[in-house]
Amino acid sequence: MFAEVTVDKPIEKVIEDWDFLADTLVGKFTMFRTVGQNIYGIRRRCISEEGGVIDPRKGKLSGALEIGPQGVIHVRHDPMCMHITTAGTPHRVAHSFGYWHINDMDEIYLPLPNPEGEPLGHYLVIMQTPTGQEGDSYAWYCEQCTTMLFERRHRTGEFGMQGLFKCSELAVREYNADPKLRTCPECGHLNPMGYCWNSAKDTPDERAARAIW
Amino acid sequence: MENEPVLNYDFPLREIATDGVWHQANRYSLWVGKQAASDPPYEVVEAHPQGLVRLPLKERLMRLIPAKTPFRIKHLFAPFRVTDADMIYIRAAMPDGVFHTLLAASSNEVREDAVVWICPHCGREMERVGFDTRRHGLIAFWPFMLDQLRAFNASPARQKCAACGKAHPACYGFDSKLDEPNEAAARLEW
Repeated sequence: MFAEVTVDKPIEKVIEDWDFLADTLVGKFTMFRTVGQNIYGIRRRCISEEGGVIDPRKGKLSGALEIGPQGVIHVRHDPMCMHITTAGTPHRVAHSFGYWHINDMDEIYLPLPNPEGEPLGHYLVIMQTPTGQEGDSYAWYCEQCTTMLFERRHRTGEFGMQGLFKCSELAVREYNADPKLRTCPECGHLNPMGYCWNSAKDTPDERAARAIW
Repeated sequence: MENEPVLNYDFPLREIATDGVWHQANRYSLWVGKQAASDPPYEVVEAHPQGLVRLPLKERLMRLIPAKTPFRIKHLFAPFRVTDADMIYIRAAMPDGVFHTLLAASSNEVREDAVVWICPHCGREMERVGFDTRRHGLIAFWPFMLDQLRAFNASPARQKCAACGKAHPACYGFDSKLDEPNEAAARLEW
């Protein structure tokens, strides 16, 4: 077989950080990390085609939701299936983050099952790096009639990922602080409180809300 | 309701690996391939200032091939493609085969691609032909590449490296179903 001449050195000596899933690197993607034209998040979760996706801290993730013209719809983030939430679609995962995230960029989810003999697989989240006016919103909609109740926006294209999680935290606290914000102006329903993605920062009220929705 | 917005796309890897075509999902272009253990393994080869680098065949890997890095995938396509888009390559070995995923997104930064011939003997760039990606899109590059490589394969003069004098082997396009006999032979070879 014909073989082209390649560099006679270990790849690590030529290309830095060449494999994002390497044990030495994967931890840097626990939250989100911008590299070039995309933002990457890599979550180590117990993933199998029979058992689905299980977060070690939050349990089984099965409540992925999106909002469109038909209202709230359930979507699946199945192992070995790439799901793409298109830009502008409000989406959330029940019991994982208690707000609707509206991203100006497409989001890709790909749960890859545990490699043979390993306890955890790779849950990949990839999205384009926003620029200019592009950003992220945190929003709440009435759970009864889907009227938008409250929204806060982070100018990610301008400020980058810096402050993104803080922005969500501030939005959650602001929304939770005033029952009027959670009360639907259309149907009068009092909606449950919001909560952040990082469960370690939950207040007792937020922990209770996480259990509800 | 007519003209409803597309909220999402689902691409089960096993399903789309069977059709072998590129898919467009809003700004992202994606392709998934599946190989059996007995197939000649796809290997990513990148061109760097130090020379050509072959990615190790790890069971699970995710590689960001940075924009403007010429790359090819052995047994999948040759010669090299260089693009303004970051290309994401994911390799996942599963019990029923090895899955290869390629992903790239269009944006204002993505303007041009090129077909690049790099001498496999000495590593020098031999030729480069540009493609207007901004106008035609990332997926339309592949038929363009096929036309270009066929013209190259038909020209012994172009195949001779000006630096080392050796002949560049025949090239092959992304879609093996379109292979001419010489392309099919080259696909097995390198």
